[in-house]
Amino acid sequence: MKNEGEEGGKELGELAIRYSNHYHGKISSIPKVPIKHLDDFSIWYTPGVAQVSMEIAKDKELAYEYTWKWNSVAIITDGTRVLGLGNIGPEASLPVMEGKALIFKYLGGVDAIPIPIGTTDKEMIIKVVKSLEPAFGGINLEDIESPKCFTLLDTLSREMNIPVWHDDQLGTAGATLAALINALKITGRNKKDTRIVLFGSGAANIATARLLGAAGFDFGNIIMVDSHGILHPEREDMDNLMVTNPWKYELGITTNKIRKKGGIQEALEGADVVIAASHPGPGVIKGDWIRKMEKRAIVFALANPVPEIWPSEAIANGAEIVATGRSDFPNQVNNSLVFPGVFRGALDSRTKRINEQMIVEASNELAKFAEEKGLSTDYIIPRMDQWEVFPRVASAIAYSAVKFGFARISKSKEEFYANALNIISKNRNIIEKLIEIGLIEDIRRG
Amino acid sequence: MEPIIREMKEEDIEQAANLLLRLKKFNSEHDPLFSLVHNVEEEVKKYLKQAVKEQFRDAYVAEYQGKIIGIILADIIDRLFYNPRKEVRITDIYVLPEFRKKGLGTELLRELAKIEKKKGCSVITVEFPTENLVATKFFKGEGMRSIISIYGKIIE
Repeated sequence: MKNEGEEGGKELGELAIRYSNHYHGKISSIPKVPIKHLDDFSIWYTPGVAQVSMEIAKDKELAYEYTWKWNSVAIITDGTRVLGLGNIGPEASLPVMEGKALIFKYLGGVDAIPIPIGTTDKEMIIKVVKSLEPAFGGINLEDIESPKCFTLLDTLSREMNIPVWHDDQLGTAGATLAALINALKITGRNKKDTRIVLFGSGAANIATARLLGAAGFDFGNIIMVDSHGILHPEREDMDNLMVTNPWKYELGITTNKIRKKGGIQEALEGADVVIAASHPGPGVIKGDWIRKMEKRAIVFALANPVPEIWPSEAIANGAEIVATGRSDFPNQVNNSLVFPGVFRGALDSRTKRINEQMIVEASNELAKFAEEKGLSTDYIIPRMDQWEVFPRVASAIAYSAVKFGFARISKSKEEFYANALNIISKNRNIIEKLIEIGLIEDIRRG
Repeated sequence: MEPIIREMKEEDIEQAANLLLRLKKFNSEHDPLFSLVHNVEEEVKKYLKQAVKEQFRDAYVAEYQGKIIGIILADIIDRLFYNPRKEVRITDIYVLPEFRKKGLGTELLRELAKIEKKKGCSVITVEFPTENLVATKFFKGEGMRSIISIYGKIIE
């Protein structure tokens, strides 16, 4: 398990170019109603469709019954923070958003439409996204720079009547929490007393800190570290943060109750857990620093493509559990474990919003799933190939939407699970069948 | 939390200077015309020493458990041509981040107004960088309005 996976990135990139050029995009729309004759359009389209429109005009909620709204999600980006590539613009973000739509479909059975938009202006984005509400059952914000992404998520969640999600914040935070819950179980820790260092204060770790608070961790035991060092109330840039990044500012006040100062090295002394989402490593976290953490330390080194410290080095220096963002190491903390199920559940319950407590429920469900399969230091979070996890997450989200009074549809958790399982299985079957009969060509076969 | 608001004393200057320095640094973020001088720390202390002594400048602090957590400084101005004649103009007001959102800024402002009213001031004003929108919101919330504008540029 040493320094694997460094090669291969270039080769995959070349294949991606070749396939993209062959398929000219990864998704398309296909009908789900039978069309055998042009006369059929007199029902699917005019004149028959007018009756459907008139019904919806009388009761907008009927759009969920008579159209695809119930299963559709808009993937919105302004292209300002795409993967690790930075601000590459909306057009260049499209292949990434198409990939996201593909995961939505394959793992969540969701019809997701990429919508990269041609403005980076915050107010304009808010206007555009709000105006999309009639057409979609949910909004997925993607690859938008920080701190703008916080304003967008908070404002749109508050002002829209369909769920709004920002995956770079909430998806990552949800998966991290799930893995942490199980890591605490293995190392015999409780939430309240666990001292956690969050290394990197971008969108993912700010969201993780907030989610940890919602999950019952003590904010005072969390220490946040960014490029200026440990965050504390009297740090020089706090006044500026109050204006430019109020979310980070707030955490500067509420975290770090012992008022520790210094850098990452000082922060790690005596810490139980480090959750790093900072810069690609290796060597961003040193083995020596891990040695100064508490015994049975938990190390999440989540930077991609290379974790802040190689798992083998962390373990050699005393870490008991290591998680990364990569699939070629054990314990992959991957937002794709979260968002397909979250949206499946959000759409199935037709929830108006997704709050932090609902994400905690989803994380608990993920953690429980792994526990049922049998926890070990190499297995604290479900793997992506355990696809039954997605309807489980869906049922947790949908049922908590009912509990919080956000759902337009009320069912039991078991009913939501059966429903999600059915939709996800059906969509996977369609894709498999289309490949099998050659309507989706598989050029990789030859 | 019940801080004491009282006049600034000579022995407060070391701690108060830190708060004033933070404010000046924050101001410098808003406009290049507020770029700090190289010896700003020294100047801040000198300024506070004067404020403690001078008649035309008043300085108060909020103290909590022996720590200075807020400051307010104001000049007393004679408005030669206008009524009311005597004005108290806040030049600096600052509360440490940890102690914000607890009404301490309001308390400092109101306490200053109360004291200066007794000394004959009928108008209270405040100056801050135009781009400081947090301050705009705060003072508007205290019932104040913009009454004068200062425009500026570097002379080439």
